Amino acid sequence: MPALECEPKHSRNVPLRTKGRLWTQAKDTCPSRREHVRSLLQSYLYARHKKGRGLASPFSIDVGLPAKAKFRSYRQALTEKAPPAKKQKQYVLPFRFSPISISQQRLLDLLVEKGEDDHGRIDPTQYAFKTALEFVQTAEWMLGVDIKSSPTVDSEGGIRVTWKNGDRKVKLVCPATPNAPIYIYQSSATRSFLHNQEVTHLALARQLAWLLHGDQFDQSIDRSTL
Amino acid sequence: MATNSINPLIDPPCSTIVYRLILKKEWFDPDDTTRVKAEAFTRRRPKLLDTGVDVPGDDDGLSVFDSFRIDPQTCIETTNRCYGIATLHVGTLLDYGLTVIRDPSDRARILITDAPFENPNDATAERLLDDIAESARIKIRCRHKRSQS
Repeated sequence: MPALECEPKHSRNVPLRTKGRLWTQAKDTCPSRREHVRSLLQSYLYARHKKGRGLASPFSIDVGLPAKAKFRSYRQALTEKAPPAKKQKQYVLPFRFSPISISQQRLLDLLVEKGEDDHGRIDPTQYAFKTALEFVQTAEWMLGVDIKSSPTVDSEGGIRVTWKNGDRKVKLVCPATPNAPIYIYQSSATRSFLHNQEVTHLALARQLAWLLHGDQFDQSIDRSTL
Repeated sequence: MATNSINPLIDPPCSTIVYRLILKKEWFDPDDTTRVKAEAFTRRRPKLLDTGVDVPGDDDGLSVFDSFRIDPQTCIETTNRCYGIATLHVGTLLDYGLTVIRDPSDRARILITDAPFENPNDATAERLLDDIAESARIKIRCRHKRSQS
């Protein structure tokens, strides 16, 4: 296809509506997509040049393009993937999506609102949030599974995280300040127990393993972490 | 079933249903739409602020409303922000060994004087909170926020 000596922006041969639509669609896209649109526009101009004013619709291209590309609409052409650009900067998404567990997402949701209501603090303290997130993340990593939990904020900004499985429950209590103790509470239909000494990530992982597997919980934790 | 024999002429009978306001949306169990979590039934501890102000918290007892004396809508409108109402049966609370009295300053209110405090660090108290939560039923889910006017 011969290259036309025209910039689409200044061309008088292209109907204003077509030019505007193509450039509006290309404006916010990556450079390679802009080049792609420019080549499409050039092919449209070439078609008009060859056929005089015979090209009735600006939405079809039937001259100067490979057979596969004939009779495509501009809309179709614009939505398909642009050819890779040479020596051009790669268009990179501004953020990287990283999935997190439901428990971690629910912990993050506690930060949505701030301030106080009738009951007390709405958002957790920095200490409580950091403690709870570390415990939840590490325990889930040790177990190798995500277990759904539901956190709540107490009136002073501490966090209580609850895991449930049937009639078994495990609760992690992270107080608002380091002055109060962290503890883990476990309960089933027949017994309840409170761990307030040496409350570690491993202790929580062991309780969660019990929650999942009952009395066989020791098997689910890697012995190398003990 | 236990009877409320502390002051039978004044205190609520066992058949009384009381309303507990759900002041935080996280008090509803997100994985079981019929359940309220135990945190909804804990008392706030009294505390002394840095400014020297003494905040009583729920020192006198967990505050609930008598369903015979107040309707749910009026109950919700007593707060600035509320997400619903859970109901409790006084007879069941008495069975758990709790003390249920009428609030001397407001006849529509009832106090559960020995409900556990927040983060009790005690297995028995945690168990009691779980039992209370198990017996509770959700009456209303709503999103009430008093307008600032």
